[in-house]
Amino acid sequence: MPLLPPEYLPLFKAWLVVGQLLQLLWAAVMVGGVLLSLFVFLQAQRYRDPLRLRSARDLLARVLANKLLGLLFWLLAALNLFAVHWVYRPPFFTPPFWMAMLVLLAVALLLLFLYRQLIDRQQPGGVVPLAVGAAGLGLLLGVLSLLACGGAALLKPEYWPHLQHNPLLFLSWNGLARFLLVLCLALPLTGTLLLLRADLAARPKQLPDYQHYLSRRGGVLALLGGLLLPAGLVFDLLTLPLIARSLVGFLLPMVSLSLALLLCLGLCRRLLEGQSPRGEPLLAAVVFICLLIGLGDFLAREQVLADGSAIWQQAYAADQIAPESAAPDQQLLVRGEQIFQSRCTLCHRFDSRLVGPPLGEVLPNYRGRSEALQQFIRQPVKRNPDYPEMPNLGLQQDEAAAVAAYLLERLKQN
Amino acid sequence: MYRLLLNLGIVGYFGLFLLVTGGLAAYWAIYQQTAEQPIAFPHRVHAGQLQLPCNFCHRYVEQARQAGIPSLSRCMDCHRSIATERSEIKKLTRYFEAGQPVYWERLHQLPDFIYFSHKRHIKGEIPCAACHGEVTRMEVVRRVRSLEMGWCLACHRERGAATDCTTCHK
Amino acid sequence: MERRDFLQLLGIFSGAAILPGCGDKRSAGKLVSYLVPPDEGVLPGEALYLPSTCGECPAGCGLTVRVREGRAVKLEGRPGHPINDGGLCMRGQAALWRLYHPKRLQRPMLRDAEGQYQPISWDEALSLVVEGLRQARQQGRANLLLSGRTTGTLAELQRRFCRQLEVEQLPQFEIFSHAALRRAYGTLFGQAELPHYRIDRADLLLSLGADLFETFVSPVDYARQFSRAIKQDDFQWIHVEPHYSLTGANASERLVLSPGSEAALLSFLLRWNDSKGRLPTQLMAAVPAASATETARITGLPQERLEQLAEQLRLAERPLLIVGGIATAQAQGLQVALLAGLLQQQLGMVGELVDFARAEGYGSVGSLHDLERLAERLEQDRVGVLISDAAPLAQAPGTLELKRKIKRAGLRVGLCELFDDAAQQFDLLLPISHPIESWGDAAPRRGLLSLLKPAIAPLYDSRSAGEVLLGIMHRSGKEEPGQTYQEYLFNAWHRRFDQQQLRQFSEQGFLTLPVAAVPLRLKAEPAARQLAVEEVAEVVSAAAPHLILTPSIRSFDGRSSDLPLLSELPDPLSSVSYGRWLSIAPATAQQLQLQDRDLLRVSVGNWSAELPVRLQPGLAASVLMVQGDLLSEAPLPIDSRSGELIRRLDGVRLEKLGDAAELPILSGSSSQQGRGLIPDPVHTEEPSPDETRFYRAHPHKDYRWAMAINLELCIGCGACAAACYAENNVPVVGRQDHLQGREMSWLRIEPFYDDAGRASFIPMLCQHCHNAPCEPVCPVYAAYHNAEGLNVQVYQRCVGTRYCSNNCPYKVRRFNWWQHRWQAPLEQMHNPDLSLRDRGIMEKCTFCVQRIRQARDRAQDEQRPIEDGEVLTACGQSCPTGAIVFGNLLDESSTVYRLAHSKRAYRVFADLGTEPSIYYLRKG
Repeated sequence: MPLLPPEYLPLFKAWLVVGQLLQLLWAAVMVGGVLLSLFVFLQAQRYRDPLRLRSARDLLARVLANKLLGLLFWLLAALNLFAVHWVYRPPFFTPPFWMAMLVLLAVALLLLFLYRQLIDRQQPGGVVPLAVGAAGLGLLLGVLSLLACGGAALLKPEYWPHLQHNPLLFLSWNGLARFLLVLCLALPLTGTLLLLRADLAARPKQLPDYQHYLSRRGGVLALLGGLLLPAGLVFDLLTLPLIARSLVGFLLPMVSLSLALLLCLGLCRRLLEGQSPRGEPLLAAVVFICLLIGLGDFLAREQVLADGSAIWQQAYAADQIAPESAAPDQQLLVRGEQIFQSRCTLCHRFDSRLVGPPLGEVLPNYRGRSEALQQFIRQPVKRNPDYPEMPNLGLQQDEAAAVAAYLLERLKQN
Repeated sequence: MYRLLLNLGIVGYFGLFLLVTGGLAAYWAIYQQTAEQPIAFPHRVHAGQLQLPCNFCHRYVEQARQAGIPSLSRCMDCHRSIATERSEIKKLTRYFEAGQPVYWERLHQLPDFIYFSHKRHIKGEIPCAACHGEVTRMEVVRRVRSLEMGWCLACHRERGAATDCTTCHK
Repeated sequence: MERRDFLQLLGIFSGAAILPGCGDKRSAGKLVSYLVPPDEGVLPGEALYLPSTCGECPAGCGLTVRVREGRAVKLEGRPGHPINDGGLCMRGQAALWRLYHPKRLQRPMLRDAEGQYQPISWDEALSLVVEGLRQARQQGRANLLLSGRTTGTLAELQRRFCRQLEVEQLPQFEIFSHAALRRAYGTLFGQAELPHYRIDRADLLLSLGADLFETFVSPVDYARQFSRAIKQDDFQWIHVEPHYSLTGANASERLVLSPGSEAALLSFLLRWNDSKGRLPTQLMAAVPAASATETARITGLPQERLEQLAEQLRLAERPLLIVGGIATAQAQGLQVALLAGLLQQQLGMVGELVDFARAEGYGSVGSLHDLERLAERLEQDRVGVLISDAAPLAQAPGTLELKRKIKRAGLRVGLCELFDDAAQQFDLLLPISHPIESWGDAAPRRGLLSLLKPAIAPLYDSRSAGEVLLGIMHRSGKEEPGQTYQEYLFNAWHRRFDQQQLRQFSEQGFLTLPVAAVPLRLKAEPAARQLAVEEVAEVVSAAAPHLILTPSIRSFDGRSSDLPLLSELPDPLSSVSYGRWLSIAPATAQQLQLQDRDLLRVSVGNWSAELPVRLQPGLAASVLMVQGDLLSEAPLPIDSRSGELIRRLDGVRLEKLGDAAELPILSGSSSQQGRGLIPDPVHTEEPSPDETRFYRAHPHKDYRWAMAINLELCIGCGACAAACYAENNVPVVGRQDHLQGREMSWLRIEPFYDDAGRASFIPMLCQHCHNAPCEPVCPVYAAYHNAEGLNVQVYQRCVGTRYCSNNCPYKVRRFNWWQHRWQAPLEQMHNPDLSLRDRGIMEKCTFCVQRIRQARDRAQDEQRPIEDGEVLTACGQSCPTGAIVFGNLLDESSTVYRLAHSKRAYRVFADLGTEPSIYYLRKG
């Protein structure tokens, strides 16, 4: 795949933050909605309650509005995956890996849409819709958990070379923490969205029963999620690799915790007293927490993969190098001078002592002995006790030859 | 009253987690974060631009367990005449002339109960960067590997190196 | 000496520069740079092995000091050294505890008017001495220098110091001065010296009282010689003593004679062999008459055995008689020594087996007479400055009242290592460096020079004795060759040796020099005169019971009793660790209805002591034993003829007190209780183990580590246990924990006695069982079996259930009941190759896995397998007799393989089917 020049890197990184936030919110709503719908549908079946059935249908109509949006979700996921690949280039990001991810996600989405269709039928019944829904949700959760583990694996570059041989290393406690965190976010997000919908209805007093029912359930769900959130955050912090930690990395979860506190207090008041806080601030709080978490994740990655841009540069440079044409003598001298200027002049002058001896003094020993000079350049030995030993600069055979040619040429000229 | 208690309970619950997070942050800041080095030594310049081999300064890396911190006289070999006007080099010169060793901050520290030999790993042809990261590109060297046991084992298994407990645990 | 020569010598002797330790608090979590790189060959984080010489007793064993990051972490015997050849006794191992002793004197101190010690500088201190010397000279009082046994260049410097500054050098002080022997040899042969006894060349050794393995002149050397001798088939060793010693326990036969009847026995032996007519008749006439019946009556030995013994001596090709220890430390001591000398001459031992050419260098050592004379002069206010070390004050018999009398000296200058009670008898305290911090040499034996080279920089502001003397001389305006003692030494060496010798000296840590043969001629007349003066005292009349004060293998003459490790290690015979005790015969105990730990009051005249009792099987009923260094206040007389301390009190009164004392006795039982830990040679059949297998088979690929312990060579000296403590950071836990059975030793020596009171010793350590009962019971897999046959304990896994210890039939696992802390600066001797164990962790012998690791590292560098003998466990390294061999059982050419397949090999509790990796070789 052709590489874009490094200038585009910040663009990709910015996209990654935004794209991941979108995906997180969307996935969370989907998971929360489907989960609630399954619960409500189960209850509807047990009590033969049309209200609950209606609620379930309504809920699914919201979170799985239409297939086009499903496709969009899928595309978003694909885009995010590739953004990660482009920015950080983790070696475990092989075609089988991302293809498997995308296929699994597609299957999950298809199952979920099938589930919605089954529920929307006149007389849904039996275990089939439940099973299909649960399978879809499970698959979705599975993909999410793998993605969470992938995110955690990004913070452990030392394991990258070993994943191929021991795929189990892909699973990690931090991955689990991230997955649980997504679940913790899914509940309040879905809940507050339901509350908001109730608020937005033109005349709240005349809210249809099923919506009222849903908003109550949503409130409870949101409170539950809000209360679980701190545990998830601390678990995440505890399992975060040492090298990924930073002061901001600690501050962000603390802000999130404060927001979650406000959210829970608000939800409590609303559930116990009726309508007082409206849905908007509650939803905003949840979204903001998601943003903070996404930001924290990004910072941790930047902290760990500080040489990420370096990797990019390296890869780009490797891509760009064009094969050199055969070098005539003159070119050899030019190359030798280049190398000499960049590598040798720090310690050597021709006429004066710097770190090493003046070349004018020592070079005559090598007059006509280019081989010996090359040998010395490639494997220096300490000759003169008055000077520190010369480091082995790791020059290649041809580079040493170029430098030697250049030096002997200059000697001739002087 | 009941509501007040409930609210207090929630505040207390979150307060507890806030405290835990604060504690974690404090622990990290005090024990796990490394302070600034006494002299801002740029690996990027020495190992990167100048491409000095690692063992030019870390002399013992091929011979001993410890890679060795370069002696100040080693630094002074070159810096008697190079870049002497820079403030960090002046700092170095002051240390050297006062006969004081430099107390560098330790970044990579294995627990006391671990036996680790640089020599063995160099002889096993593990590149330095495998554990220390691309120091050639780091202005200030940071730790980029967790140095945890699972990672050691993953590599040992992969390369068929010994995985007996006594290999590393002493 | 030219500066050029000095630099050349410096080059030869400083193969590796001393690096200052970086143990300050600032370096925690930091990387400290060197200013200049260390010399070639010095690698940070790798151990350095430097030669030195042990100063813990006068034997002068060669040392190898292991240095890590500027800290000395372990002492080992120096392989190839003519005295110890790799072995090192427990006192030598414990010398590190002296170096890092919390009581080390850290700077010069002066007692002020209120009797408090105030630190002063070296300049002030030396000026004070110089001023004191000057004043005393003006007042006409004598200035005296008193030291312990000193040899080599320092002895020469002492003489020079005394000559230049008009200081009188007193004969050197050793409580075990062997004065009777030296005086006897002086009378007989004109050689007032201790000869070097060649046990390894003898086929019959008769030792009389000499505690060869404990304190007699050079115990490690004698143990080593014994190990060589016993490998010859026809070697016989008969030890005769009134009490019970470790030496006696190891002889082929131990004969118990009545206390004080040694002279009678020797006279009998002399008379029996007289038919050869080797001795002038004039001399033989002076030898007391002794018929077999009479001698049997006096000595309490059966007449047949006496005659048989005399015959054995007569028939032996190369018999050797060694007399000393308790045999000469009695009223007839000089006579015993004279008779012994005569017998040695008569049987032709003198010259080859009793080697005066390589005499032990005791020539300048005095006797207690000299100390008596000093006390007298002190009393008469005739002493100005007294420069001395602390030993005379710590060890001089209480009857001399030296501590009181020394107060009358004008200025008391103490050259001390520790700030202990003895040191506090001085006004001016000068801290003396530990031998491994100092430059020096020692000539412990004629024809041998052993090197002292600082392995570490001095921990404190201390100086070596040579530096102090030289400093005083400089300050008195005397021009000396050499500004420093190091220069003085180099000068001396430069004069004596050529380049090649110097290089050898530096590399191997010692130099053997040719010795001239000593002309020996029996001086019949003076000897006869001397003998005739002596009467064979009627010993039987001396009232029983006799209290014999034995020297201690742990504290020598008391000088090492302050070292924590040596109190932690149990006495080999009684297995008592802390405190003092009285050993009594089981028969006496029965008679007095006493048990272990019961309190007994022992009194002589108006002196008495209350001591807990420890039953000593095999001890004669009329004899009580107590370790000599424990009772410096006992009223021990000084023999008027030899000047030796008489270490026997006759007619002691015993009184049983109702109480029992707390006495830590580490061994569970002094009998094997029929369990066959050390099988009787007669019963060589090994019970076949139950064939049922509960354990998975362990495959071994390249190595299977195993150990062979030759019980024939094990003398129970405990050097292995001491080495184990030092190597493996085993904590010294103290008396209280010992009383609760919580000692931490990974390796212990168990003494077992049979019905006749014969002792056998067995070193007991983790057996690294193939089918280890400790492993399956560990719930967290902390104990597991590795692929090389080691039974590994992973400390990081251990949660401290102690199931493993409960399931171990050998009781070799140790539990950390506490977070053991080393009192600073003792923690500096921690071996960094091992971790320290926390509280709640089980630990045990690891087969020195760190040494295996080190050997493997070396082998991998050279791309070869680990060779046989390359891994030396700390216990095996230290063993003076080489009883412990370690190696790879899969290698059929290895020594351990050969020993494990020997006919004598057995494994403890083989019938349990644990398949230990330790093979013991039974005696015989």
